[in-house]
Amino acid sequence: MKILELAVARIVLHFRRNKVIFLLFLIGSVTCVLSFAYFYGNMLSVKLLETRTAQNYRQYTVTLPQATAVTEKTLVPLEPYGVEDFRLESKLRDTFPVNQEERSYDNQDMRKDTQSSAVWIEADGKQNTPLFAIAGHTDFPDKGGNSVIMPKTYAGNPGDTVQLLGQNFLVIGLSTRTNQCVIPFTVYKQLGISTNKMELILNKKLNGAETAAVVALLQKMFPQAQVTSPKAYQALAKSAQPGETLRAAMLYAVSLLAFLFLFKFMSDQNRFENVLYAMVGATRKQVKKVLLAENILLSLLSGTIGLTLHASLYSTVFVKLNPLGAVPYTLGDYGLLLFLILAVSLFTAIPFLVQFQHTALVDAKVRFRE
Amino acid sequence: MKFFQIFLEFYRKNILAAIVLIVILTISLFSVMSAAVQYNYLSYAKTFYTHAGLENSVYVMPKFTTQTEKLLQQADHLRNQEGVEAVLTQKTAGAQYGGEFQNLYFYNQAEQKMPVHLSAGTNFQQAKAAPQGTRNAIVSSGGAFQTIKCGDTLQLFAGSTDGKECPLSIHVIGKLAAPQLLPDFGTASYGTALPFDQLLTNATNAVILQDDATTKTLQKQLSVIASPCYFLSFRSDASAAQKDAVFSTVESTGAYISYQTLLNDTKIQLHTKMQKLFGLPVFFLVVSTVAFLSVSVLLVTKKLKDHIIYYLCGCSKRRSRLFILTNILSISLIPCLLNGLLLFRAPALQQVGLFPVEHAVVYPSLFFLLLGYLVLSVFLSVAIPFSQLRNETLTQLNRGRI
Repeated sequence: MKILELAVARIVLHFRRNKVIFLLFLIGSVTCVLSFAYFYGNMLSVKLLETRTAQNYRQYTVTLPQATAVTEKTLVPLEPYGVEDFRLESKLRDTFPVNQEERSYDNQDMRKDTQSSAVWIEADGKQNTPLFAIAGHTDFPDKGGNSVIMPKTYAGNPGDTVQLLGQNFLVIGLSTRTNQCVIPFTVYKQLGISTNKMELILNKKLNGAETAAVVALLQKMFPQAQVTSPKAYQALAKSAQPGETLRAAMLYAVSLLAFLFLFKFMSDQNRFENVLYAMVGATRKQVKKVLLAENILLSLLSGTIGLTLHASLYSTVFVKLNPLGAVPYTLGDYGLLLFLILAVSLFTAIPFLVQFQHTALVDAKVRFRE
Repeated sequence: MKFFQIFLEFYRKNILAAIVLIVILTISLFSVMSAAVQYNYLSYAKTFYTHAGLENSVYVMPKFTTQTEKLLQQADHLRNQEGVEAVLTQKTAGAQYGGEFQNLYFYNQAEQKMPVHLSAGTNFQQAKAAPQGTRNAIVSSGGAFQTIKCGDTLQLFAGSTDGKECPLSIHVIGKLAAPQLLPDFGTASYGTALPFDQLLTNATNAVILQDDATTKTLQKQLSVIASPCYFLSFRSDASAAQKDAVFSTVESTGAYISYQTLLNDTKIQLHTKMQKLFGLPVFFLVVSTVAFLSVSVLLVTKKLKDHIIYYLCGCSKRRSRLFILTNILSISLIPCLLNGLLLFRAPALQQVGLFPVEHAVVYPSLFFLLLGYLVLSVFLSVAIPFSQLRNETLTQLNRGRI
């Protein structure tokens, strides 16, 4: 307790002795904390994947071992979780001519002039996932008509007619996809095409428990299926988290470097205090504890001010500086940031402790008088 | 001499702090400047294309991308359709001059509307007829053309269709001005945004010839490559039916993007780049500026004791202020000078591939920004010690220290 009191007293003394220097140190440290919060939100994959644009965190894939009929009704149990879009895929047996030029660029493995077994027919549920045209259209003006968007490997042009599933389809465009023919969902239903693979994109990113519930539900709906959830992406991002956090903390430490000159100046001013502590019976270890406590309290002060500023000004100021928009910051994030700020402050205190260790008390007294 | 000694004394006593500040300021200023020149590039591209008279145009991206003959045939076919004003294809060939590879650009009349700035000479419309046996050409400003003047006649060796070198005499009528950028219709967008900056190319090794009747025979001799994509401009009085007929032709073998979409993509990109490019550098600059202000105040405060002694030895308060100003100014001046020099030499460094940013446009306003930063940072960092010196005499300061 006494150590804490002494540390507080030293900070008050810093302020009284050199108001300008102390305030500049505080402003500088707070600026560094704000930068650290920015680095943290914009450098960590785990944070970036939480933005609305990160579709991987909202996507579930169901791979069925045997072709199964899937309709909108099948997806009703998933409604509480908000299905934004879905894609159904079915393996296609038909063949069509392949564009030699595209084949050589995009699919070195294809050796035949016609493409068949590798091709999937895909029906876009709500067409929220855009298709990109390299020729013609990539939307279906006539939802009920037998129209198809062919992959870019197709040798023909829009306006051609191709045979798919025993039916004539009008080619309305060529998309950038290499092995997928896309037809309207209504036609997919009308023809009663069985599904081999289904992709679901939910409205929002779910937490761990909700993700597990969705996976369990999908597994219950399709017992034989292999279900892939965003957990894999989350795990990947999480595995990168320690390294990325360390990099952000190092950037913070570097930005703090210049302000250590100010801290050194302030601690030099208090050198005589250290001599006094020793004269009244404090051991070197106790004095070092006071120095450490002083450092931690200063970091706590700047960290709290900086993070409070960041949290309160986030939606109005800082979010505008984020390249990927609204990266959500939780209380846990701020807690982690504060912990890291304190850890870095301990790291930066090492030179001061070493200097104290190697300075004789008499020498410190003499130097102060100088 | 005494002044210089006192100036050096400041650095001798605070060498570590000065080095740290200079390094931090140089890096942070450079990161902001490199963000600014990249942003300028996109902004330049937007200005370039918005002044190119393409408001009534679409950007056509045919499916067959490597067959020049087929591309030009389709372009000719579209050119003859009703409602079409022009089809801006781009044709290039390779040539050798001064031991370096040069790109030969064949500029058609519609392309000449695009604002290609010249540092010297005139454009094709204002130029006189070329001397016998030569062709009017605009060349780059640097590289092999560094010492070439307008009016000079040069001998190039262009790559011909039979694989041999074809001699080509050009009469230089103009030289490209920095940033030496030319339109490039080579990029196709299949789904991703296509902002205008992707439709520009660095023309550091360029020879521009006119794409007209006079060069038709030459084009047949040379191994000319057509750009895979092109702009198609409609007449102002083209009807919706005429446009639909053209779109139908275009869509039968490819896709197109309207000028408005390209402009919107560019505007979105400008907004995104602003956030992407400036976020981190601005944070760095703010931190380093605060560090500079703080450490400057600290260094001056520590040095105040010496100034009291100078004062007692007869140094005036004004001279004392000058010492402080010079010391602080020198710390901030070095990073600004280094960055200014890098920006000033940017075009030359770009030519030899030594400029760290690939797509950059340096506007003179950046130098004023650097100067503004220098003045403001120095002003703020000396304001506190100066106010201390103004409010208290040096004798008072001395008493306060005892």
